[in-house]
Amino acid sequence: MSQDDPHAHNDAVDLPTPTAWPIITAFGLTLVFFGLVTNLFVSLIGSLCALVGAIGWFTDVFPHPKHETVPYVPVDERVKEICREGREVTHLNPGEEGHREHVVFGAVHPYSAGVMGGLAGAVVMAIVACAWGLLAQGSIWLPINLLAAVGDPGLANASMEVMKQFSFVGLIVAVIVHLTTSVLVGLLYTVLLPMLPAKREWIWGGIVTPIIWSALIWSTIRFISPTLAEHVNWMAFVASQIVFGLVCGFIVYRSTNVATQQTWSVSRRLGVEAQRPNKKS
Amino acid sequence: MEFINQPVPEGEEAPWRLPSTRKAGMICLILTESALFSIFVVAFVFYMGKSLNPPYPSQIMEPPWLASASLIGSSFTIMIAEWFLKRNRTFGFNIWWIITVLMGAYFLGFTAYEWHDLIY
Amino acid sequence: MAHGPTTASEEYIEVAPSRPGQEKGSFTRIIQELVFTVDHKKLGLMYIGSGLFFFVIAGLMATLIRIQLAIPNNHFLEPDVFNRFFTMHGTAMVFIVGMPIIFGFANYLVPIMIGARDMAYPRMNAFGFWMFFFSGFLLYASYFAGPGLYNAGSAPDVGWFAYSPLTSRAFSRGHSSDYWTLALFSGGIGSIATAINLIVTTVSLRCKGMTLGRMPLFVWTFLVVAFLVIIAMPPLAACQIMLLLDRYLGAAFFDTQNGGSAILWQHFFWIFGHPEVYILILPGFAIMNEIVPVFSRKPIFGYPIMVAANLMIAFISLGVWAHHMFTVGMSSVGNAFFAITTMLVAVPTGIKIFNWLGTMHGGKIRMELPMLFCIMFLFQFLIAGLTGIMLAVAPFDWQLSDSYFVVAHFHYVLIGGLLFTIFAGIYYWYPKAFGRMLDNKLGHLHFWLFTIGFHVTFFPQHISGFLGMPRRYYTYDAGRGWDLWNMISTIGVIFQAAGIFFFVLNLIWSYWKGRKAGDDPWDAWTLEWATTSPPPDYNFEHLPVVHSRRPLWDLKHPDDPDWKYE
Ligand SMILES: [Cu+2]
Repeated sequence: MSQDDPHAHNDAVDLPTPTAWPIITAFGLTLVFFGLVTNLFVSLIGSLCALVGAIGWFTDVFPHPKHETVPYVPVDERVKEICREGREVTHLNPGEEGHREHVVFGAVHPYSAGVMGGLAGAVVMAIVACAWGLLAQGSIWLPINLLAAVGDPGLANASMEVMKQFSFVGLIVAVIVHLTTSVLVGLLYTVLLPMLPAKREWIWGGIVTPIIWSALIWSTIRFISPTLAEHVNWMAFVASQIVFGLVCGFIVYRSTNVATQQTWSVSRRLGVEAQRPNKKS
Repeated sequence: MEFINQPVPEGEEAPWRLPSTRKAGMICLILTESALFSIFVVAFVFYMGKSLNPPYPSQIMEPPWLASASLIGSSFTIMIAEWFLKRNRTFGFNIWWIITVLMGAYFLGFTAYEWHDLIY
Repeated sequence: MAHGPTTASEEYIEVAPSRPGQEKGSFTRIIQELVFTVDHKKLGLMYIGSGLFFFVIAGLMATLIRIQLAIPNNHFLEPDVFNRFFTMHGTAMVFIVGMPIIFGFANYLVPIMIGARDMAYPRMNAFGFWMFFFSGFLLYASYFAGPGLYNAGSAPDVGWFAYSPLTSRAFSRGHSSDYWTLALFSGGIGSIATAINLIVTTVSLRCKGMTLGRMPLFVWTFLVVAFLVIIAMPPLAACQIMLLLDRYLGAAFFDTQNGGSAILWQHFFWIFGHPEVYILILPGFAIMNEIVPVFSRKPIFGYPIMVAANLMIAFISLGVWAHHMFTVGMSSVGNAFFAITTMLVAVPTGIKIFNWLGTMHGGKIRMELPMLFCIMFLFQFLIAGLTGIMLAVAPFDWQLSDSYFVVAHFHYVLIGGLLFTIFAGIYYWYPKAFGRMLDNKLGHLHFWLFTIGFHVTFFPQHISGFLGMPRRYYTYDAGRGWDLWNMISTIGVIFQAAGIFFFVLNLIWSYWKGRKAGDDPWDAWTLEWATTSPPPDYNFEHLPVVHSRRPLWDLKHPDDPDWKYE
């Protein structure tokens, strides 16, 4: 009736006319395939059948798709009125008693602080690692190539002499590995630090976490990079980790906190609403 | 159901328009076809220059100029036919439509001949 | 609906004829209606019905496979019969059980949920159904036709992914592989037709006010599924064509003895095969998206992110196919790439699981049968996802590829994930389709028997896989540590079969004896509940107008409608 519904009349509606052409076409096509595994004669019959079906189908939709007018079902068989009685909606308000306890986070550190902290930590960590290479092993390139061996099989199998030489590929790989890992760990710090207990976040971020992290690496590094495991000096490794943790943790810790949806109550974020029991039914 | 009489939010009176079924259907069909043929193209590229023994393709095959022209040309003739159909000029439509069918049939026939020739 | 000038041109309006001599409800009339129908609801039910029929056959094959494997050195089946059974079981379950059932749900529900009277191309819809239907019989005809019967059948025996060179002329004589190829090809034509139809219907036939942002998530998910179908099925059709050229005309695409490449087949097949997995599991998500909110009495949590997660899953699924091929010896860069993309899928999937939990959180949960199945889905799909991530780790996959661990993994996905939501959907929408509720007692019997049977059957397969049992083995020697787990596995089948028996019984019994459902038995919010059960041929007398994601909520609570909050 309405303008949006050109198919509806007063008490009837146009629907597509039922037709057998699609099944005939489909049957013909299937026979074509069936003929390929039995006898090409079957395919021939199938293609004739499909052709007849397709032509019949075409006459069904050309120039206008065929419709037939279907009357509406009697009024008493139509859809019933919606029952609106006894329906009440109660919205749960933030902080409401008796439902669930809402743990409200304080504010969190912005991600940018994590990126900056990670980068700054990366720089000091590199300085410590290179200093170890220069003072203890006599080559500034050794720690860089060791790190690069993670991603460069050529370096992983090289001798100690080669490892102490400058390698351009090694430098690039090491920088990429070092920066991405540092930034990711920095981001981890922004998320983790507010969750850690006590006021002295820097002890956790600067010392405890690097030690746990080093322990994790110590136990798994031989699977990731056997070369690194063979040559690394664990004291220097832990030292560089702690320097990273202190610098990164400090920068993250100093950043101003930002409010997020985290500070909202769960019910406010979820849009919780509940239906009071329906008294009528 | 009383969809008509329910309270209505502001600014919902704008006319309701949706893409035409024909356009949407055609785009889907083209997507399907390109997915199909991309696999053939990949297979072709994969096997380029990998013939084990002669005769090599360049020795026995010629570019099918006429068949290609009729295939590509048929997409233009069908457009002309459609132009007539939209203006309800059935005669013009029939002419151009039959031309399209013939061009398509020529392409298919030539392809079949080509295959037959290659295999036997 | 593609229509020309409307109302005025009388010449093509025929009044529906009374079709003399055929009373409504008589047998011939019903058959005639089914053959002639272009109605999306009838076609949807026919899809689901024939899917369930093939499901029972393929399930019986699985039962025979399990009996064969129950004890070591068993000779219950012949080896070649065993090979045909696992091939036909896999092929049937994916192509003529899973696909038609999900298309059935889509066909029935998508037009009603978007407030339309039918699909965009009703005749093509019928064509798609019949292509699938006949392709199922073409597949099973392999047992009887060709050199069958006196030759005890010649069904395909190359596994459901039909790796080359098993399918080359030299190793697969006769026509058994061709039956596989042709049945999948013709079924694929039907699937593509239906998928195009679904997309066009969703894009072009939504009722007034149904913007993309208000579409039920069920419809959104099926839109994504349909896109995956039209992108992933044509590559399958392309490889079937090439395989046919190989087998009939002597081409050598995949024929390794003539310079073809077996690896190329694997790539092409899995370019289709992996998205296919998502084509099968996304409808499960679609059903979850409808049932979980209704039975938690809360709107879905995180609607926009659920839509985004669907799109992400579809996108990522196109770039992970080679995780099925870690053991063919790709470069380590290739292995790493496909391992990482595969793990990425866990992100959107995880989002979905958390959003369903978020929907249930704080809700007033009603433990009706549809919800029970959905909750089991959450639990089982989590296991399936976790074993999936384990298998995505290339070195781990090297150990367990082609073992029973993989079998357990994908049965947790397809049964624990897809089949459980299909059951949930049937319990949820059966009242809409037939006007009667499914029986609660039989339903609970079905639920418990099937759930227990499922875990008893498939959990031990993780363990036998770890112990090194390869899939598709005909039999095994005693004393390799596999005996106990296989025995338990087979015992589980008894429970599953009993569950399915009560399910089928329920479907039939409730059709005549079930409690009357009424228009809206679950107090739900989407448009299919705004019409009668079963809906009339034309769905709605007046096309609905919607203003929010839960149009029926707005009608039921006129003073507190949803659009105030969206
Ligand atoms: Cu996969």
